[in-house]
Amino acid sequence: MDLDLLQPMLAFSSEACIVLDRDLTVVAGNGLARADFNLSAGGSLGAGFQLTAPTLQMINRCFASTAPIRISFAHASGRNVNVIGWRLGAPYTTENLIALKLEASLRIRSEFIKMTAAHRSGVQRAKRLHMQKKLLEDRNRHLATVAEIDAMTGLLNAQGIRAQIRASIAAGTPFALLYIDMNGLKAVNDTWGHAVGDAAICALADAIRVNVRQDDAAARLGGDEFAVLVRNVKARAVLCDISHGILTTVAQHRIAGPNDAITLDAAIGGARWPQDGTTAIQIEKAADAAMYVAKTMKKGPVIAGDPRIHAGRVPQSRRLPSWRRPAPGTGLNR
Amino acid sequence: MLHDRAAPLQAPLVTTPVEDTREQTLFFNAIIGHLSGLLEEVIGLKEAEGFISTVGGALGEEMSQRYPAVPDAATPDHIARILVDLKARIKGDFSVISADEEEIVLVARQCPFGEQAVGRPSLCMMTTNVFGRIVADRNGYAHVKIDRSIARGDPGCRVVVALKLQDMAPSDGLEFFTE
Repeated sequence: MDLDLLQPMLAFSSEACIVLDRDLTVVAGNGLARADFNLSAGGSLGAGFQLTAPTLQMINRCFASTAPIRISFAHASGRNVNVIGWRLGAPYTTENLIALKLEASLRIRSEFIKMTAAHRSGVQRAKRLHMQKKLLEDRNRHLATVAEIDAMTGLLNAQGIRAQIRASIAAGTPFALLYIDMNGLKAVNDTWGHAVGDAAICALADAIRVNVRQDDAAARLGGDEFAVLVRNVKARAVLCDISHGILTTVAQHRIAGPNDAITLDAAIGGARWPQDGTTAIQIEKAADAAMYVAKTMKKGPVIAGDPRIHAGRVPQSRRLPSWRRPAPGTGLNR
Repeated sequence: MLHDRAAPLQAPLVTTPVEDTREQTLFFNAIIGHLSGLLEEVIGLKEAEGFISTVGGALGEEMSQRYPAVPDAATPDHIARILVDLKARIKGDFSVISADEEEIVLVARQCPFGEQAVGRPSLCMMTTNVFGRIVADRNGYAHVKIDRSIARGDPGCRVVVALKLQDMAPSDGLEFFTE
């Protein structure tokens, strides 16, 4: 029987169909076999399928029987394809050929699967989880930011600037820490009330904000105490300039009291890392001590290392910054 | 005679060109109606909805691009107006009941598929997917639920588009996410 007649006969099949010889070489194949599995005359079955020992055994059985035998092939794409194979009978009995019908092509099945309710539900579930994850991450970022912000002034809070100090030390970035303490706020609160006192605090916060650079960090530690982290500055003169800028700006800000305008003033002390201390606590202590001297002497900003600072003049109670000192009666750090 | 004379031809029918496209619309609606009905019979409603959703999704992407992004493109009111506009262009008579940060509610007295939609609820997937894609592209998320539909025998349609993602996945309707 003419083998050339195989090709047109296979064309009538509604499924991918090929004929193989004993070497598993494709003798003939229809259009679907070519389109869906890249199998055509002259090609090899092993080119697109994983022919394991059990698979080869099953194929061998096809050569021994004209009755259809069901096999499952593993395609190179990873999917399993159901196959029915049988030996071609008369008039091809002596040719030692088998036919393989590959059921439900991969392409059609994969496209159909995408449309099924189960698949679509799975895709929806995955997209929903992804969106929920993104929302949670955004919320966490927002909470982390809010946790480090002082609500009244919008500056960082103690926790926030502490994190910045730690980060700068860890990165090895030289910095200076300025402590700023408003003068006379208690008198303002007692005389004119807390509303006026809060306005004064906000005015000092604004003065700090306009006098520090974008890379620096400013924080309200609590009450009328502020801190500024000045990055990449070593010279005392520069720190004094920044401090004078803050004092000049805040002095221009008039708070209207019930009887008269109030002129604001503050004491500023500073310390540099790593010159004036190598740990965060040492720098904070040094800056606080310097600020105390500035407050006491009332002669402008004081930077650690200034001869005016003598350890003996700093009371023991001020050896820690106020925001690190235990609250009275609690024994706990604030 | 060398050859027979051909019998005179009868005068051909002359068809007057029709300006009105109503016949064409009815024809195409009939095709869609029968196709969706056949799908529902052969592979079931759920899978038929899957096919229609695939088509609706592709159309939703095309239609979404036809409405340009403008500064207030993400407000519920603006989104609602887009939905009403696109339906009006294909003879769907939708109107907005409410539009706020939580949801947009629309009702319709007429379906673009006309009578062909009756008894073929899989066609509702067109509205679901087109609305869902357009809203999600502008809002980031949409959940579309069709409370009432002409296809299911109701006198009109009521579509609710939720704009906020809830913690629990909804048990009905379809969700759409920004791509």
